Amino acid sequence: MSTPVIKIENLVKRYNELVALDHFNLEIEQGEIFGLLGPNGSGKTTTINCILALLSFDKGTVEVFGETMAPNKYKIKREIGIVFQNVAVFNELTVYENIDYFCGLYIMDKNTRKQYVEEAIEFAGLTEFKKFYPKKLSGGLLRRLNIACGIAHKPKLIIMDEPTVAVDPQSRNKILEGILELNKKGATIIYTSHYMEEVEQICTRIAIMDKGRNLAIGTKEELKMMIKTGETISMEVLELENKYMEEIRKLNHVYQVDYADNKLNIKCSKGKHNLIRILDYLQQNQIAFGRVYSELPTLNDVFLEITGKELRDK
Amino acid sequence: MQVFRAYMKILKKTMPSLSIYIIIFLSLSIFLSGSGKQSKISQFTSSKVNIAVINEDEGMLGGELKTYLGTIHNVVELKNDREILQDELYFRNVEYILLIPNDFTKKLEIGESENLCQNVKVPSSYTGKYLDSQIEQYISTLTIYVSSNIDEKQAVENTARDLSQEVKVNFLSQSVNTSKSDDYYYFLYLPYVFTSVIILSIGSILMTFNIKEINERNLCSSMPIIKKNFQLVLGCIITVVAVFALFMSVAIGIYGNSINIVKAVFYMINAIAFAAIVTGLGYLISVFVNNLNVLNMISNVLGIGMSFLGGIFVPREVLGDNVVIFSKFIPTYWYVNVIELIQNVESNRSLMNEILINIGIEILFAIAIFAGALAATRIRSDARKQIS
Repeated sequence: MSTPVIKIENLVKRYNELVALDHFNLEIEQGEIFGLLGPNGSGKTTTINCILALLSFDKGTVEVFGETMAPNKYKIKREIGIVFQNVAVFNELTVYENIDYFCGLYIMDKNTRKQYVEEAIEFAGLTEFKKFYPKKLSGGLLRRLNIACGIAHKPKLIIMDEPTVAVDPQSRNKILEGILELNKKGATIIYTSHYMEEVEQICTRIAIMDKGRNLAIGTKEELKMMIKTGETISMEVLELENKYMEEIRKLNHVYQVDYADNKLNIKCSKGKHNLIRILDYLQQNQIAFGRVYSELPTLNDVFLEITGKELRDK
Repeated sequence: MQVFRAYMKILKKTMPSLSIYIIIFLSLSIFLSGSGKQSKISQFTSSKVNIAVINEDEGMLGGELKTYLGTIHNVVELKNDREILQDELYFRNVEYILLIPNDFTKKLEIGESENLCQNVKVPSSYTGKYLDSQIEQYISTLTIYVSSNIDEKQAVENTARDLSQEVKVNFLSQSVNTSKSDDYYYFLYLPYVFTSVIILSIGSILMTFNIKEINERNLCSSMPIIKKNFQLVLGCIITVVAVFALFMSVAIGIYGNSINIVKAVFYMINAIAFAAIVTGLGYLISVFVNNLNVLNMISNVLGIGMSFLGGIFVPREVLGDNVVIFSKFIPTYWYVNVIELIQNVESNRSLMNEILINIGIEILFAIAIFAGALAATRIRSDARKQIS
């Protein structure tokens, strides 16, 4: 069995009274795109800062590439690329100069660095903007520059902390495609986000965090299997008496029924023919209904069921 | 040398705005050094005025008065013609016309001394008052001798001798030394320039490197922090040396021929000590400030504030006692002390020790500020860890 790229055991980090990480455990294997999913304040950024040795912690161990991580482990740091949530570039330097600067913190050889910088520029789609100053770039381009600065030195482990916040859909797709490409080239990626669609789209494994704890971990299929919900059926119903709601609730596999704004939502546990059974019941009782949708559980459902709250702040 | 190169690139970007400051400050320093000297003349040198004397006296004393006036002013010979005299006065060819009447000697001999002569002068002019005073002084002195029954010729000689006596004035407290040259004022104003330019240049660059995201990004890299800091320090040193060299080159260019080597060396050591202080201040400010406008404001407030309180823009004699006590806690106070002592170091070599003590105090200021800045960096870093 190969050494995990990251191994965190019993990590505890406190900010005075607040416990940011509560006996947190995590193992990430080489070649994974690992999603850290959690609401704001769940401990994602704290975990990353502990991995990067930017933060000291109260208890536990953090190993990167099989070695205990520390601020002076420059050999390990050489293999890590970081893309922070907030754009970290010099406004006084051009796109090229910024990438060259951050790449130069790792790569000393001038020719190699030049080649890497050019590749990063091409990868981020910034060729036309090489001589632009960051202030002249759009939000999406700025994010791409931020990523280019983080990955130019070709690290084996790339940590991306919410890299698509406030990015237009076009740039977001470009960024996600880029992450998949980096992974194909061999990089292990840790991706934190509270955009479940992104995590679902690109991550091979996901950990759900809340209040500094690892609530669930697995592939998206495994996570969905962990919850009770197998199917959510929604339909437009103009009028529905309470007695019918009670009877629907008693149908096989149905465990939750909500009716509001002429919309009936029925959550069913895993089982066959749920939709047919419900439609039969409505027809038998001459209940008129409009458009019908049947959805498989999403990560939001997983999160909702595990934590009891929505993933994103509303 | 990646960090150093980035430092220099950022410095290059800030050069246009810094150049404006440097040019303005250099112009002002040179202008102020010139005007400062002119406005602080404390020695009296008598000046000669063009006057006309119409002597109608029938005795000898009127002629003696004219002769006396000729020794201290330029007597222009004019015809006793009303129109000519008026024209000459109007065109300021003469500034004072004295008319000695024909009974001048007679009246003096009987002891009269008031309103013996008539005059026409430029109205409300200081030269008019000046001559009135001199003529009155001559006549009153002469009257005393004549009335004491000594020979008129002897009385004239005695009067001339008395009036040639000069009073020597010793200043108990002299704020202005006329021997102070232009270089004195140039180096006196230097702290203001240094404060503004050095704080702005290194402060703005360090501020950029201290931005939380960039700082963390640097900390995550494989470049050891000591190496990164070394390159930043090197950048700061080169910036300060460049600013120092620029202002010293200007000083050498302007005052190089007239300045004494001992003075020049002390001026430079003093300037280096002060540059170290403002470098520390720039570093300290960059830890707390993350906005260029705020940095601008702070550098201006510090530059002007320290200059006023330390006795650069306002002589210390004008400042209140409490203000002077307070100003001892400001580095410019000690800088100005050194500048003042340097003025007399050529004639009094024993002042060297005092100069070195004052420079030592400046160096202590620099060390204290650097220590404070390092502590602030640590506190700030810990605080960031707490809020991550």
